[in-house]
Amino acid sequence: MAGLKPAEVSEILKQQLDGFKTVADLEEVGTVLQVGDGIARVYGLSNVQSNEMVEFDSGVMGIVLNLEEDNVGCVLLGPTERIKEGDSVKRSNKIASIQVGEGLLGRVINTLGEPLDGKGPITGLLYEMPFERKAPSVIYRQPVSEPLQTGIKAIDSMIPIGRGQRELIIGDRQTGKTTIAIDTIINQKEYFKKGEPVYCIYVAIGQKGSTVANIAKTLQEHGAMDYTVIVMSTASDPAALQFYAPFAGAAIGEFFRDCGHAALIVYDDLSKQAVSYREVSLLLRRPPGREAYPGDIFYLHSRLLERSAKINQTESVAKQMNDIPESIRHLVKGGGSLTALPIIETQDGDVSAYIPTNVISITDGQIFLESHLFNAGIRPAINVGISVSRVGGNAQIKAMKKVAGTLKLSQAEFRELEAFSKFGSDLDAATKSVLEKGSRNVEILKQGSASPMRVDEQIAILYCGTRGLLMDVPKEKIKDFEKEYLHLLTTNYAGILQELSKGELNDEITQTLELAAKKTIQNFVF
Amino acid sequence: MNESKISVRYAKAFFSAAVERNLLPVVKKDVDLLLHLLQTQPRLKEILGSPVVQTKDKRSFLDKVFKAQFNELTMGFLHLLLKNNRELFLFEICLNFQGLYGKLTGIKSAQLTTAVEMDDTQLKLFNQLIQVRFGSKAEVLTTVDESLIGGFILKVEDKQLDASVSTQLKKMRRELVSFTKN
Repeated sequence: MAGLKPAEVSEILKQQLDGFKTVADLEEVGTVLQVGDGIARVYGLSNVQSNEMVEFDSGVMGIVLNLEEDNVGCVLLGPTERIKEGDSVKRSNKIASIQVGEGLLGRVINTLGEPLDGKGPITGLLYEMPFERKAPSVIYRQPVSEPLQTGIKAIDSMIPIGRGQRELIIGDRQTGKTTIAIDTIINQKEYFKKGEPVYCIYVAIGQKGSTVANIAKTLQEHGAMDYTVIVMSTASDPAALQFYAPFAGAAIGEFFRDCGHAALIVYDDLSKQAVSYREVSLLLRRPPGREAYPGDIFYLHSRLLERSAKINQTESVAKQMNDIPESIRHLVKGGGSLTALPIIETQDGDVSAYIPTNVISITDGQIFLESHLFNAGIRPAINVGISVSRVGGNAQIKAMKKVAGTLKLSQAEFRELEAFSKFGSDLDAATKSVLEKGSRNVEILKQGSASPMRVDEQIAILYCGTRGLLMDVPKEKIKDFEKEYLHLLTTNYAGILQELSKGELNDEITQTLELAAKKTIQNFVF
Repeated sequence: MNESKISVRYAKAFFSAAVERNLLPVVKKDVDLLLHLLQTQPRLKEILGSPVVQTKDKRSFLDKVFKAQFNELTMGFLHLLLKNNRELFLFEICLNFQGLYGKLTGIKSAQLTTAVEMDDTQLKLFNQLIQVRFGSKAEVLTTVDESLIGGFILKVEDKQLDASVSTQLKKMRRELVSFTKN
């Protein structure tokens, strides 16, 4: 603004006024009968559609959710205080939607797409995407086949996630759920640099503003904001903004997906979204069901998560996809994907509560985090026994599959024996070796936050663990060994790592890995 | 409980009773007056909606105010509402009644708000405008509101033609503000 001369300002204003319409249009209006708690009941508006935006006298917007016999129920997207009984309400003839474009990358926005980071307006071409859109139907989809590397050893080896998959992250408070999601976003930097970006959308629902600010800072520090959008609705926002936030995020994700890119969306977290949806539903007087959630709470989550998909590679098929918004029809390409990482917070490890069971049944697997593992220093605190990925196995690269194929089972066996061995001290040699190997693997799988590891390095270190090459290294030295071993590989055998990242694993490579391990071990055996 | 059904049902019953007894024009006038009062006198709504005021007091209050000028049927209906504790829905019922009347007779109720008083020739022009733009006849209720500055707002059922100066100024302000923001 500062650079503008007064004359220029008035010139622009004049231009604006020249384009101003003085002809009155016929509008459809209604009258507010009742208002309160973020809900308004409106008389009139007899032709309004469900999910349509309406505008109140004061400029506050609302979304129509209930169509009843003589009135309509709207949720307000602004302060309730600015609306009075008797105010008139105008139809906007627009279904609730968000303006999406590449200009959103690096920005923090609210549910309506307005920037919150003080970096000025969103730039670039923007396309209108509706909040609610039908998921792609069967023929436009393709099975999950490409891996989505999280950079976390425990996940990429045992609970692999594929592009287009929906993998739930579930656990109590303070078990590192958000950390896993953020680390995954940070790990996509590698692909962004390579020019095959995985665009990331982080949706914060009902969180503290300070928490989101911290996350934005972490992402910024690791250079991850270049390919990330943060959609944020804090705990103090109206409930309607909170429960629509995931839909806004999904609309952004769909834009990237339908343009043929890979995208990753994190919903943090859906239990809070369910709570705000319950609030709105009860205020709209919809009948309550179990735990007072409305009857369609399952549908709320299933239709949201169903929008994550891997789109058919064939462009001619993808172009015919159902319900493509007019605005992006000309941009549609095949082969895009939208991977979802919904997060659910449990109370005291209770996964059999209503919302957790719902979302577990909708998703293609879950990563289960436990506080006792977290407190025991095993971080990420993944409970391997009950975490699964139903489709990710097909997406794992060959080398990883060969190396880590048995890891999950052997770790489960180790956990069982570990519990058993606490009762007695006399153990046979076979049991002892299982315990020794298992506890070393646990050490290998530990990983700090914001330190994702490339897949080739993961394979190299896991190879040592699963082949039992580290039996002579003391447990507390495993981390040091890992560091030196990987250093040796990157400096002396960079070619081997490259082969590994392509998925190759032949005798020559395994021999080199074993040689490097032997060399490094010498520094740790006394 | 779906409350919107309540007002629809009461309005239907009231309306069909009025049609059966050939009292529709009279009752319509009563309803129009009631609506006007409910819109302009917030105290009336308050008294009717208050759970502190006892039903018998509400009844004697309504009798005192309306008995002299209202039709028997209308009074009977008001008493029925009081008996069933549904007096809170009176406003919605009246609105629904108007809707039913419009549907049956083809005469819609229109509200014309202007900044200055309209004379007969001007009103005639408005009636023609309604005929052209809305394709139906209407009973026009006029109000004067100086805050419009100029122009008029014409509302026929839930369609509105807003050609007031104040709205245009508001629009202009919004466009300029959103423009300078960007």
